[in-house]
Amino acid sequence: MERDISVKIKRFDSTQKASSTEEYIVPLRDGMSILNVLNWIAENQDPSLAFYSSCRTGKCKGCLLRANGKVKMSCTELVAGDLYLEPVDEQTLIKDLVCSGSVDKNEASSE
Amino acid sequence: MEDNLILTTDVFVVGSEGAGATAAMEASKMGMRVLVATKGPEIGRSGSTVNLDGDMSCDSRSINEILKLPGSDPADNKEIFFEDIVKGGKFLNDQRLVEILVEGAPTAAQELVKWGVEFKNVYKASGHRYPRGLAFPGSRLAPLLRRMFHKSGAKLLPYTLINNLIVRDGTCVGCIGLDIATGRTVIIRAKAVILATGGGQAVYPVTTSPQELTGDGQAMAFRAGAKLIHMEFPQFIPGVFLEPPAIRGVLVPFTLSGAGFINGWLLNNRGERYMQRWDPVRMEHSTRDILSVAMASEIEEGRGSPNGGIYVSLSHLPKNLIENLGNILPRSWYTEYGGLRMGDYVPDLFSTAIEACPGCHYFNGGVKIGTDCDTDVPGLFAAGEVTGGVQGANRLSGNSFAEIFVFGKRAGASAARYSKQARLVDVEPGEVNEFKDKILEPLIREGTENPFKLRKDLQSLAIKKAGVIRNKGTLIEALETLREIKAQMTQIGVTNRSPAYNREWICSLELENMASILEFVIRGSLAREESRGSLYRRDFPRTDNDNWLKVVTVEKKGQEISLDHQPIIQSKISPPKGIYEYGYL
Repeated sequence: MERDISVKIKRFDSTQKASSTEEYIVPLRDGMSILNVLNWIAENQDPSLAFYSSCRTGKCKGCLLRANGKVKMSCTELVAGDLYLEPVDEQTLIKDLVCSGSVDKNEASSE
Repeated sequence: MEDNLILTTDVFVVGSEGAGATAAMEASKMGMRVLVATKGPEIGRSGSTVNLDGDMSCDSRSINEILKLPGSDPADNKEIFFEDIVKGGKFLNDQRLVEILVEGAPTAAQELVKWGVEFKNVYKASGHRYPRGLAFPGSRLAPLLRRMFHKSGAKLLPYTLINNLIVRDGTCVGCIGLDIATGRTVIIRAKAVILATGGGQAVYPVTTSPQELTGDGQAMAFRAGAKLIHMEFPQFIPGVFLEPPAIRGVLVPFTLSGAGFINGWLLNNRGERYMQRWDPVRMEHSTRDILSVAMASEIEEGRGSPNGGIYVSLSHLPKNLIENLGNILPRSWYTEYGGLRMGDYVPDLFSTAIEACPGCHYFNGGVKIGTDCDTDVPGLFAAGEVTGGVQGANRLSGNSFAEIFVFGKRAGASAARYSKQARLVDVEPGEVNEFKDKILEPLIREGTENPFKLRKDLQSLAIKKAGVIRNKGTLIEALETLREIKAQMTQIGVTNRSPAYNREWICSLELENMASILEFVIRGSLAREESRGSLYRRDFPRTDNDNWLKVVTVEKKGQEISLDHQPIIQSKISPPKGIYEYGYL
């Protein structure tokens, strides 16, 4: 089943000083993760959107972001409805959803 | 845009995970200044090591003596382990490298234990005559690797894509690439460079590996004049999810069938257990090579599922048996994968067949190395999956986990020794203008082609015409289509010219490497007129030990790709003569 969802993304680029929010309408299929949604946006609507991912299976924890206010891995989070996406750490923000350390605080404390 | 970033070091490592981090730590221990580039933000946030499902192979006797693990078998020894690897590699392995692997594995395992790795189980995987798999998942290994690396004194350059080596008078004196986070060019002056960039699985659309494995190391080594070998041997695993998108490439279907933990059936769209026609005795537990070829054949010949896979079915298992499975296997083996919950995507694994297809899992081929991890270019070293020769024509389970630590350390030591007598060469920015222009080109060019679309086109070509089943006709067609894609690549234009973390730009640079890797796979496959290991040629379906016990090499001559055949390197075992049915050597 396919239906449209609204995906709002907080965007930041060092060449423009302030952040802005951009909205995309994404056709959601069953079994799509946030990462699939981000890739769909990049491939079909806005190639300039910056985000990072690697393993796609919740192992590397490189793709952490805030989804509707909560810290999530974009690759393992199944999308059910509208999304508001922000970077995981404003302090280390490089561009859009990409941060410099991508540090997982829980993991860091257990090391 | 800001100026170049120019850095100087003794040893520079491209790639930050198992092989790269280990190499860096070893060189650092030997007193060298070491810098490491990673395309990700940190150690353990990219590459294949964190993705390991976890077993490191080591001969069972050593496991018994050193780690005293239950299940290890002292009847095994290094010679038997060696034989199994060479047999699994279908006799194309460089046997000197296999000796190094077998000798080095116990020490590497001990070192990992010192880091805090807890090996609790040892299991026997297919192709191994004894239990040699020391189980430990990559997701727990990566944080330990990260901690050890940051203690070592080696420094990490995050978000750095190195894409060309600087060679002067035939010697590698540094490298150049992109600082992804800022968009600056990075120029490295180094006494030695180590490549540890992993494989090129991203060339294929469905893969178990991370998407950044774009073959950067093999492609830049080739451009710098180093020989590559065994490029015709990308390895496929028989059974990864195709759908839904979130779990594409996850190998749970193989765990449920071929791996033998749960005896799932492989069915085509008529409900036939098609393995009857391929391997009536072993059926779903046949070798990975045969399973992949059978799976790809069913799909190609129109007996596949709607999404282009086959079916893995568990519906023959009675309800009470299913209920008991949790008592004999960790339930997580089939309910979870990494951080994915299978129930989110496959509501009822036991009553609905899942669609699966072969997924690219590993690159057996890569940069040709000698016993010191040295390449054909002085000053350039390589370790891990970026190299070829250790695994031959196919790799046994657990051997890449062992390889990255054994050869990573060796490469680090060799590069450190080399650096002690090497001179640092001045690299003026003007000298590397050609490379720099190449990096900047996609960002500034007025082009119309979209790099993400071309990446998809290339991947779809790879699986259709240079996938699990290959033959001369489709391989030649593949070369033609690839030529067209490469022409389109010269017309790439990014939609946004902001240099910081520009994914279109990154993709454009990686795409150059992917196109090279695919060409090496195609040309390498054409140069081997037989089937062996992870290469299946429909037009030459047998394994021919009378004519094809040789290594296909790929190297740059002028602006052309030149292929050649070299004798295999034997130190202990002589291969049997004769011609064999595929999968039965």
